[in-house]
Amino acid sequence: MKNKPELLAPAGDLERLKVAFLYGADACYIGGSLFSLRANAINFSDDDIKEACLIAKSMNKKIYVTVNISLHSEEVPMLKKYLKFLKDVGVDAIIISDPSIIKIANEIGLEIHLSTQTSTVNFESVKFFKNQGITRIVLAREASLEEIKEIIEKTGIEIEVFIHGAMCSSYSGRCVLSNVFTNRDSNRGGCSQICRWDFDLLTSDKDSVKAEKPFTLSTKDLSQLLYLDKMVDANITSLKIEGRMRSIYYIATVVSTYRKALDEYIETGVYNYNRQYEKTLFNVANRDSITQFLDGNINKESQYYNGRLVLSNQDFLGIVLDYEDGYAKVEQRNHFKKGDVVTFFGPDKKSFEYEVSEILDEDKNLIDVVRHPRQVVYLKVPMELKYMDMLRIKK
Amino acid sequence: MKLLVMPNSKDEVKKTYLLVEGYILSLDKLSVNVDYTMSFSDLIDEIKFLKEKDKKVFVSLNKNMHNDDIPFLKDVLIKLNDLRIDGVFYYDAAVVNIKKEEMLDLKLVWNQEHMTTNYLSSDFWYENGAEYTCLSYELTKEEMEEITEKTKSKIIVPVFGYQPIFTSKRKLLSYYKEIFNVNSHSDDNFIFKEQREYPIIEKEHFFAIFTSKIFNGLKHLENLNADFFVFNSVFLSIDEIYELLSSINKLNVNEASEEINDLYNTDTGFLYRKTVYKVKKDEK
Repeated sequence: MKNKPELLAPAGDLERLKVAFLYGADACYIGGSLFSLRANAINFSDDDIKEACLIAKSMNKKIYVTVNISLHSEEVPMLKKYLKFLKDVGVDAIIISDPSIIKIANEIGLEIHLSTQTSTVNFESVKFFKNQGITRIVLAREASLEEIKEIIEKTGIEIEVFIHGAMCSSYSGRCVLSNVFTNRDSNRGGCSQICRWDFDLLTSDKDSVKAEKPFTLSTKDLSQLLYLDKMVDANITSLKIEGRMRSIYYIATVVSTYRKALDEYIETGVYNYNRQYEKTLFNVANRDSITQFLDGNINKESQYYNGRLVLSNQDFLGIVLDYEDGYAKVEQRNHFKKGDVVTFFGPDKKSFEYEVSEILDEDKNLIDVVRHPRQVVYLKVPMELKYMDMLRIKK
Repeated sequence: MKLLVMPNSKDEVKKTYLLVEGYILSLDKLSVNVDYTMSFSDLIDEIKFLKEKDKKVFVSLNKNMHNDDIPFLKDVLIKLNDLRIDGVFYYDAAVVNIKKEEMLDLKLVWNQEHMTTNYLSSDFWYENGAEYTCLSYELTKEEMEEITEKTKSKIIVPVFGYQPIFTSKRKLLSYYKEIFNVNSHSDDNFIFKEQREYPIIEKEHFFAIFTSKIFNGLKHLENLNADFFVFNSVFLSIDEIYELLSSINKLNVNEASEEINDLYNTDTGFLYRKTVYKVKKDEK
């Protein structure tokens, strides 16, 4: 049996946390109301963090809390109280980038993971932080597989690596375009994604460079499905999915796809690259994804040249709230209608296709179209469904 | 005001050394966000030259080090230790670890660019062997004063020049030119947005973007309790740099600063501009 890495998922709120766990994540990372790099996500209140820890413990899963901003001095006094709170409610670890937190967290007895914000990508740096009491390093997304292996071999510390999601075009932490252009502090969670903007390129004489498309810093997303077997074989401790601001549908789809791919490889020892999994991941994303730096061969194909190409994904139709007497109670997330062929999928079931034949509104009146966001309807479905199963349009 | 200059050439050093306290030199392969780096043998010669002139010499090894960089980095640090330079600017903790493991006497400057933002972290690195902290350019003047007051570390602060605002391992300019068959051989380019030009540099191991205006904190930071002030020469000619440094030397700082503001496109960066990170709902 192969070494089984942890599958680590993002969660922007309690609903997404439950979805991530149900669909196969071993652990979730979440942000609280303070010190987290997604300052403008919904994030977890203190009560939410407590509940998240209880949910995780009941399911034998783990919770890591991001405390990964670069602190400014005015924030320092609030730190200790917050870290003590995190310790008291039982989080499994905090993820930090600012070293000022190390001493306090060590005193409190909190386990510390080092964020990818520090862009750590060599074994000497890893050794330094290991000696400070840090138990896990989230490596920079610029690391190649060979570098990851060498770091693991030379340091023996837990290593976490991103396998899926959006990427900074810069080394993480080395971009303040957001500060300069919009006054939002990128290293304190305010990033306004200037790297997705178009720019004109000028020569040294300040003449405009003529080209078919404008200049951009925008990078494609990351997907390591292709190298998943090699990542398992490299003894990476944790495989991480990016996206605390992503939808429940995205989380359910990405987590369950990697869960299946990982389990199949670990159980059989054979990795047959699954094109259907690739298609599923592609369909749920709104940007292209590639393996980026992992094979050590970064090139022009890693970038976008088409401006701000972000497509809204409308595949996700709804989430199952209940099932009774042959009817699924469904909360709508995108428009669908009678006659549509949909795919139902869930954490512990084989997905199946079904043509929508009968729709009832909340008062049990027959309707043909489900057009309103979050509208609750009843669908006649002969196969049993469960809470948190989902449906998407068949492609 | 003790100025440390990040030079663009050896000629610049020769022409300006009488006007400054010292220099921050950059090394091929291990330095980023600079237009001018030198080979290690040239660096050694330059250090010797400046030591003879009784100047302070710092070396900036501010790259994110990869495994492949470590053997060279170790050699460089050991040799710099023997040369008794005044300090090494570092971004990556590998520098600190090598100093510890090799038991070097080398003084270090924590220079994690956009992350040197509070006194507690400054103390952390001080306790781990970094004598100096070089403050982030994105801090307000008030924040700089608070750190300077509360930290155990000695302080170095950027005071003049274009400032790096983006560093990538990706060769973004080359990729773009390749994709669209752009036949420009110019190394000096700008990206342009909202009526502003942002200079960029691409080298073998990095791509960087700089501020559109020259940061001029001369008169604003004059009284800050810092040990050194960094003058970044990038994108300025030798003559311009000589004139600028002469002006700072001849006039009082206020007068020099005003004169510079009249001649160049300058601003005060974030000294009086506090960044935000929690955006109100209606601002999203």
